[in-house]
Amino acid sequence: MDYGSILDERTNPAALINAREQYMRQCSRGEPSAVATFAYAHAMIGSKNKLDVREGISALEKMLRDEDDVTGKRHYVYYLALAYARLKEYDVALQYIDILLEAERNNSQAQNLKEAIKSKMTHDGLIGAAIVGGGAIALAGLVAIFSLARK
Amino acid sequence: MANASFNYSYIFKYIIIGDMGVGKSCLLHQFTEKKFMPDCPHTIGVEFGTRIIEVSGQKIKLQIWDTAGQERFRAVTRSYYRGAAGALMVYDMTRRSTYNHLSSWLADARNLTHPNTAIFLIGNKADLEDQRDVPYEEAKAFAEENGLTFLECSAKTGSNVEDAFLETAKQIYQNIQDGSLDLNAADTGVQPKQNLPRATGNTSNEKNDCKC
Repeated sequence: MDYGSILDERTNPAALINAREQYMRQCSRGEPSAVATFAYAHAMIGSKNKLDVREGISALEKMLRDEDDVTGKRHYVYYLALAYARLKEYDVALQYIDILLEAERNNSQAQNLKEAIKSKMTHDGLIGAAIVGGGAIALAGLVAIFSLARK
Repeated sequence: MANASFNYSYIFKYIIIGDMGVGKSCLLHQFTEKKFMPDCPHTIGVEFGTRIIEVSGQKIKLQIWDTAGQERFRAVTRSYYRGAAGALMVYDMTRRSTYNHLSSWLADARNLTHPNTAIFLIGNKADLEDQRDVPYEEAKAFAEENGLTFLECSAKTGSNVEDAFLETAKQIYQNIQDGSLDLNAADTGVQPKQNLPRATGNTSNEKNDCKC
């Protein structure tokens, strides 16, 4: 597959409404389930609306903070990289995908996503641009958490 | 195999489903790369692989979606079931729990795919015979009850892996030939390469005498 396409993939609008409704319904009754929360966040980061993507990102970042299980964390980190890349915030995207690659050097999905992000950057004429931003600082703590969790 | 040819007649979409750690990605890797991948990381969301095969002299491109097995991500992987022509439902024959969950995987597959989707039951890790936790006969009976084709195979040694994918393709191709799979219907998971005019249907369905 052309891995660039995963960055361009978008949630079907009906599926997005569905995931949001289910999540909101659960929220109104108390703590939403992990399944519903992830489905909602995943749908949101595929939205055409950037504000939705942001909302998906904050849900994923919250899940990442609250998660103890590594299998969960690796999903969140991967999808956070994807979401930031869709917002064209490539520096943060690369930092997230590098967290995963640090823990699993041979993970081909992570390698492919990183390649896709880099080729998007080249396409957008951003390669070589200085990596800036407060995102880097916020992430620093996470790296440690993630690698510690890997036994 | 010489897969260099771009000259294929159909694209068949497959999904691979089943519990975490049953070896779905290793099966796909063994099929597309002919190699066993030890320490394969758990799939994130979905992953994708392709290979061109030949059935009855027709080249067919298989587009295979490999899904994460964890319950939590099912909402995401479910969206890939739609439009699958073939489904490989995998369990680990050394872990009974993965076999016990099959009915829930089957329910998903039945609810979310086309009625003509070819569903295969695959017992993986057949190389670990001394650790077998699910008798062959039991799985065979389950498959028969549910109208599935059943195979035991090993992603590690490669035994029966080719068959798992090829037999599924043969069944799909057979369904096209005998008309039970209508290519004009939506979400069949089969795409003829040349976009034939919809209204007139298949104009030049090159008939092949050999029915393997």
